[in-house]
Amino acid sequence: MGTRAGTGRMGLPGGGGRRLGGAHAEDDMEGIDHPSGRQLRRLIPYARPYRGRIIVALVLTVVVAAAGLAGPALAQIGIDKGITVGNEEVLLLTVAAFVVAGLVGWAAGYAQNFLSSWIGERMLYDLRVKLFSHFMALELGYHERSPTGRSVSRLTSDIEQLNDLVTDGFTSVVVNGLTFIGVIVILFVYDWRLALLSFAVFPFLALGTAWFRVNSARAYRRTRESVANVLTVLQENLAGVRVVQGFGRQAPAREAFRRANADYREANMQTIRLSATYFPGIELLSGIGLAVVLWFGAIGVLDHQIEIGVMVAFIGYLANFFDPIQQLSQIYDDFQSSMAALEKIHSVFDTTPKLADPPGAPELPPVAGAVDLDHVTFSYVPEHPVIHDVTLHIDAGETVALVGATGAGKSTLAKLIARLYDPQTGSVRIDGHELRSVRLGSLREQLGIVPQEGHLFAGTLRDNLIFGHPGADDQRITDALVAVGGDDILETLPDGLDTVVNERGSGLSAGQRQLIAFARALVADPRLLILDEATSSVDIRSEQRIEHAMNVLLEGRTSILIAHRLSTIRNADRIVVLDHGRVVEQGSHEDLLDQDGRYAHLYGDWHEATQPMDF
Amino acid sequence: MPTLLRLLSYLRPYRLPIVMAALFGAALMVCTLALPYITRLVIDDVILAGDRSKLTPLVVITLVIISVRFVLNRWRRLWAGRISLGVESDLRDAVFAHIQRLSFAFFDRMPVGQLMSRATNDLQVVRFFLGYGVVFLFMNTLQLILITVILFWMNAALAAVAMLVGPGLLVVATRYSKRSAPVRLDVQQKSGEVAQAAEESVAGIRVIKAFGREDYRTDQFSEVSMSAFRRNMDAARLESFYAPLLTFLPILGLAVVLAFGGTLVIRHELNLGQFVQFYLYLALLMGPFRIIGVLIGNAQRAIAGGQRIFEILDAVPDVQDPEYPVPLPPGPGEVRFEDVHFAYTPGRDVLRGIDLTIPGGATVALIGMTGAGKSTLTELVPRYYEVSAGRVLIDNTDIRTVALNDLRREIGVVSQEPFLFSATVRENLAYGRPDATDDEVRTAARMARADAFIEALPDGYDTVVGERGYTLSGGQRQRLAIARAIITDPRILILDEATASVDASTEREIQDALRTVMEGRTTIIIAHRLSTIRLADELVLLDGGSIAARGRHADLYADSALYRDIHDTGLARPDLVLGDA
Repeated sequence: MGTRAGTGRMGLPGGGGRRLGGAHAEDDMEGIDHPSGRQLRRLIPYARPYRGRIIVALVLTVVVAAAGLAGPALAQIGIDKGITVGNEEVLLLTVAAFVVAGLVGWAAGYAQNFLSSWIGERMLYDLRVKLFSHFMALELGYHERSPTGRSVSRLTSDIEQLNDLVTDGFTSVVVNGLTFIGVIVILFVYDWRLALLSFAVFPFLALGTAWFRVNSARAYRRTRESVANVLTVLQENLAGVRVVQGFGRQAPAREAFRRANADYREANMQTIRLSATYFPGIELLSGIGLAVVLWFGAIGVLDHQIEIGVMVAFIGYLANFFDPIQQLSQIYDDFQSSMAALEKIHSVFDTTPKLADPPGAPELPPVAGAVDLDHVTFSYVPEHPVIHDVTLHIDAGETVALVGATGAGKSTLAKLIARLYDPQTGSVRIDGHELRSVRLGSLREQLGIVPQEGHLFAGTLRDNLIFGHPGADDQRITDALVAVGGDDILETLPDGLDTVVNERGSGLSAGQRQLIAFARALVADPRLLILDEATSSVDIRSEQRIEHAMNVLLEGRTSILIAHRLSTIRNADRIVVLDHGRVVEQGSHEDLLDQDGRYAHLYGDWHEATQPMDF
Repeated sequence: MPTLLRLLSYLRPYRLPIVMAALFGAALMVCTLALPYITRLVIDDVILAGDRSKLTPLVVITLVIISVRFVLNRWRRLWAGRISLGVESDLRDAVFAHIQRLSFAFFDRMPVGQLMSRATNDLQVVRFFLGYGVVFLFMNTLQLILITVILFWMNAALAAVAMLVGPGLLVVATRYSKRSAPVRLDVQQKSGEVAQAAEESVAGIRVIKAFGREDYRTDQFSEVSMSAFRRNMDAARLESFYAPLLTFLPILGLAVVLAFGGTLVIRHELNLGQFVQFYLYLALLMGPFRIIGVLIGNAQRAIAGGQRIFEILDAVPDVQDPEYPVPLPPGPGEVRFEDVHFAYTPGRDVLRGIDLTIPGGATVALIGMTGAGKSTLTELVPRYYEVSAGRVLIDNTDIRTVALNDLRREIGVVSQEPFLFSATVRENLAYGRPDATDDEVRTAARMARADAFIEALPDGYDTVVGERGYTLSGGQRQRLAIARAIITDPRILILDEATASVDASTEREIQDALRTVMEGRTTIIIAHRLSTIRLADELVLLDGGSIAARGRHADLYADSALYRDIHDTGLARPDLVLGDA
């Protein structure tokens, strides 16, 4: 466990996702090319439960688009059939229809807007919870490899990146696509010659749009990379702010941040330059279309080939033709960022939890707690086994202390018994049940692990204490606190068990958090206890109380201790000495000293370092 | 709306770009508005008059106008872009700089998760509004005004009729804005909570797995996400209702004009070209109204985000530089606490009347129970926290009169769990003195007994460590921290001894390192081990925030029952790590 130090417990949510450089960067690099079709297709299952709503939303979208397009058409009818021929009745009828179209547009717009937001947000909610649950299912090894901040940004900023896409993006594509096609059809129906003429600008439009997409894709990738850099600098300087201040390095830190920020700004300016050419360019083409309609339209009217209302409608619709292209180009950047985020989210889903339950795995029945390791070999990295062919039997109710130097494999062995990892070869059994064959949850219910660090979740002290045994009553909680000698903690807290605590601060010292972790395990009352002994952070008096409490805690259950203190080791029924992943010695303290082997050597080291003081 | 005004004040440095963008925008608007006029001329003077000769000049003018418009639009966008990016980067710099000024007490209260969420999420919505929103708002308002003027100029009666919907629009816009403000704040708040919940569960994954409580945490997370979803829906409901309404009302205006104006044309009180032109201008009002509807939503989002950002910017650092700092006079590094009191929360004193003088060059070990105030006492020396009463002096100078950076340069701090940056070993070691030569870096590493393992790293001193780099053991990290602390050659060294995860031989190496680096410095050690106490000239026993006893081991052992208790049951008791965690 000693090598875990660097992965830090300080989490950094809120957008620190994209990191460049460093050892973990490879899977975070912006996709060289993300096949967006494939990414999008994987979103379909999230849409499926809401099929009905989506269909309704699509119908409403068509209604909104149609109501929008009806306006100019009705106006044309009003002018040609009403005003020019002097028929007030027709005019008023078309005006009424005009108002109705507007009302329909509003009502449908309301329903459609809300429904698409609902569908989009709901899909994101589903995706987020599923992603979270996937993170929870991933084995500990995964979390030890990936920095907290990265996982958190998958759950936050990457999901939020999809927000615009799923709420507005798809609707916008549909509305604008329909409008675009609708306008073409309408114009051709009105007058196909004039339509053809005004669409003469179309090739330029296509070319310009292609140019914009190619260049903006590149420019936006650069902005994504530079914003990633901004977030990295920000995150690190927040996490390490105490060090920054301790060394009085605020000014250089600010300078580094300003540089990253300026770089991002420059990258963004590039995208603005592109837009500043492209979008006015579209308007230019739209203007040319207008000139064409004016020229040929006027001639057509004068030659009595076109009605004047048609020409007016043409001018009106022409704007509707260019608008969707602008809109779609505008969401293109968003689409790209969304695809990048989606790809990162999918790469998490593509990491299969190594410890998945086999389908229909049976429950582990209540056990006595006998543990068998049978020729167990395990490695984190292929070909570098940490545990070599270990065979070990632990009786139900026995207390075993695992002892050994750094990297001897004590923690790993304990983790194999808790099935935080699966061995590559050999098997681990509890009461004869192969761990891999039973439902993981049913194993953990009977197993308690007390890790070294006493992580607390935001919530009340009570919530934290009943974490392993929801529904435990206050009596049980208080008993546990008394047993570990932590009942005085309650007195120092303003609201007792209802005091809100969090990861750090809240007036709890490291030692008190340790005691709470102990009490938490005691409340859970497991059959099998694995305890990674904290080596230091508890003060001496609490230590004594804990020693006493530990005896209470170990009573009547199988206990595996990753032991550091002599007192703990001495009290164990059996000491198992590990060296380079093998069991080298076992027996009681005295037996092992007599053997004058590895244990006696470790003990000598320790003994030397704790000679009586001479001042 | 003070938050809004305050947000707008960030636009102040961009007066010139704003004026430029506005000028180009206004010119652009004139061009755009000229086009319907030309259409009218084509209808009235060419078609209805049957005069083909005027068609060519009119079309040519059209082409000229659209070309000019292209150029104007391009410049307008470039200027506006400069404003939006400038404001964004200014705000980000300001937030970052301010965070760096805040003191430790602030970071104890505000989780990193919340800070990140504000510096990214909330900043995003603010810049959207300040950057593009404000310019858009200006242009669209200008367009509204210009068109209104034109309409009245063309035909006052018709315009008056069309404007009947105006008050309705105002009412709707105001109501929308007012109702969505609190909802928006809720949405931002909830999204911060989701981030916090995610962060906590990932950070606490070991505990979750240890107790097999993945499903429970997932349920909790899903609850928080669900309540965020609900708030989002509240916002969506408002937006969906009001935004299309802002589009619908102008349609009503159009309809009225169509009916009223059409009748006038039929009665020959208005000619067709004028009517069409009027109609086209009125149609041009639709776009701005739709955009203003969207912008109102953006503004509310920005105000909500702005409030959360200003919460950070308004946090006053409780430890501040003195107005007229004095230099810390040279000296041996004597540290004196005079009747020092301290409380993290008012009324709950952690330190009560500490009087302690540590002579320059001496080594003092602080011992005591958890919560006795050992760490707190050391954290007052570099002014990480401010004393509630009393004072702390270094070489007879009250530390509050010295500039913070000058003070801290003289103090090297090694914490229990040192934070390393994602940078090379060399950069981490030279953190306090970036201009340190290779030799100096190596010397510091050697003194901290870190040179051997550093050279064994894959890239030696160039190995990247920290969260995104090579992972080091606790003992290695602490030795790097010791080297980092002494590279500035501080006169005072503060060390919170890390006791976890260190095996016997590492322990010895750290002790050796300490012996070397303590030479010639005042050293305060929060001691957990017997062997460390042996390094000290004097022991200070803290109990309940006061000094219970002080002196050498023999004196304390004779005089203090508490010390005897601790010594016999604790310190003398074997508590050294056997093996490694």
